[in-house]
Amino acid sequence: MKEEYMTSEERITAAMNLEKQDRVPIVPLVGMDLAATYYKLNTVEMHKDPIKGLDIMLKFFDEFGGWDGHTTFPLVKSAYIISGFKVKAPGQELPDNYFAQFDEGEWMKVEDYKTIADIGWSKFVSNEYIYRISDWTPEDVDKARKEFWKLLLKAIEEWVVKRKTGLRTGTSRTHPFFTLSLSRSMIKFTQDLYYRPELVEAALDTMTDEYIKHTVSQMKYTGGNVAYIPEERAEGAIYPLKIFERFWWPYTKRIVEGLNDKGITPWFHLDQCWDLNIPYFKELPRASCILDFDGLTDIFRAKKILKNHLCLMSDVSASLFSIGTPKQVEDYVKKLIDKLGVDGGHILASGCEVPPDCKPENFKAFLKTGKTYQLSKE
Amino acid sequence: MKISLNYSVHLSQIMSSQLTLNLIELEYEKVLSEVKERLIQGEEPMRIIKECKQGLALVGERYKKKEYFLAELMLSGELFKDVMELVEPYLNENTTEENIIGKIVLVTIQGDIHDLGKNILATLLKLEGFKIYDLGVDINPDIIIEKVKEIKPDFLGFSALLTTTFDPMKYVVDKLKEIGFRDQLKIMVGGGITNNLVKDYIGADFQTIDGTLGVQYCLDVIKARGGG
Repeated sequence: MKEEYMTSEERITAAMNLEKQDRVPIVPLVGMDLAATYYKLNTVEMHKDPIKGLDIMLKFFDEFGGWDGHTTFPLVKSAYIISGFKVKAPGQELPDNYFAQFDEGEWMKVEDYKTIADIGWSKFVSNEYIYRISDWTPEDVDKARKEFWKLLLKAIEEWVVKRKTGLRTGTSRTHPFFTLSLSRSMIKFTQDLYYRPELVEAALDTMTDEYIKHTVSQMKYTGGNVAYIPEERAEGAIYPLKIFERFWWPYTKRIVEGLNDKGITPWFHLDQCWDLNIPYFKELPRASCILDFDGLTDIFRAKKILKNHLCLMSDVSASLFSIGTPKQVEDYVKKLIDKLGVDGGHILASGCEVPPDCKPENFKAFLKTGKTYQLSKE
Repeated sequence: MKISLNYSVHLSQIMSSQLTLNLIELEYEKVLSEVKERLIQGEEPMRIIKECKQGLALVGERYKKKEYFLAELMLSGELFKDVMELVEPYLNENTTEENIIGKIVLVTIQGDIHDLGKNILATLLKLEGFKIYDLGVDINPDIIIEKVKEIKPDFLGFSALLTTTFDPMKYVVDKLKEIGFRDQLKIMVGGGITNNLVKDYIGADFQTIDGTLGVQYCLDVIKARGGG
């Protein structure tokens, strides 16, 4: 078997730039829920003290021999609230053995669009919205922000400096469209898109500029170079292309351009089925972003369309990790490597998060095949 | 300005009432104001419902032709809900809207609090004449079994967004088999993390991530049984 000759950072950078690597870079989304489940712990204390959540993630990473890249911090309730998302957490609104989940509702009102357009999402959240989605006081907000920054910097130190992982995210903010959909609730937001489009557009416009500015400034502070941008609600499985073209695509192009200008690569985490939207991404400059799918988009068709144009992050599904066999995982990983890695533009990953009930033997098969298959073949 | 849908009007729609046409075009204000006006003028509420349902059927037709998307299905369902809120006070106790063509228990099982997909499916099935028993989210498997025994539905539909629901769903299916209830109903599973692997694992009959396919499955089953 051949030897590895690249660092994780080099491997990931090569994949993003559509260049060949020694082997495929591996970037599973592993959160504290999986790590905690593996060690037979619940996450109650981790939501109260996020450093404990990070510690368990690091322990899990080390025990499984590591991989090439990682998101930087555990997604605890306080981190969601700071960003403006209402979440239910174990030990608080949910039983101790549950996992944190979005509490979607019409928390944001129609009249809030104008406020957001005027002052931006962050100020809207800080000034009033955060008190609508939590029982926090201003002192709690200050405390949570300080703790969050402490966590983020420790996470960077642990992942990037000590463990030399690539894909330095350094920030995580949902796409402005997704932010509004989650905050208004999907059905109300859909009504807004059709019946109050100007209000939505004005808010998206402000949020997009703010998004770029915020991300650039946070990256300077954290040293990150990849912006993780989740979006699960704009795709052709839900909306016709005229909605996508008006409310998602122009803002996304602005984000790509604005971040690329500052040397930052957007990493679009695109859950659900994006088959209909894939051809639009040809309009973006070559190697300008990463597209990350969850198993519902036909990634092999996406590769045909975007070959030698954009880096794709693959999609071993949550169900395969959870109830599949090691052989099924191995076979699928080999297929991904064979079919997607031809121009180098492939990062091997989980489709969305590796689920908390992932069988350890399946995760091992995923890592082992990713680390050895190409090297043993060539 | 409302966003223009700008789709072709089919011949069958030209023959329809203005209310039906407005519903197809998702003209929210126009639909509700016409319904209000006609109710005030004493019009038979069932006629209004019938015209709206005709519109919904044509929305469904556009969806099948891929002219409409899930978004428009949701909007039409919401619009119909608002119409029904206006109409309901005018319905007398003996008014039955239509015969129920089938009964379905919908649920998100213990550990999962997501309800978006379940609610969309409930709306779509209701429009087709199914009686919905929505047990809600985060429901204990044994409660689901008790409800199935009590309601004796034609379908049991699981909505799932977390893999940790697989084993509890399997438990329910196995238990229904054990107590002799399994063969009397069809079991469906849907949600972003489900696929055929999950269907086979829990022992369901049907899986989808597209609510309209779920509705079609239910209609097909009822039709095959000679109902509907």
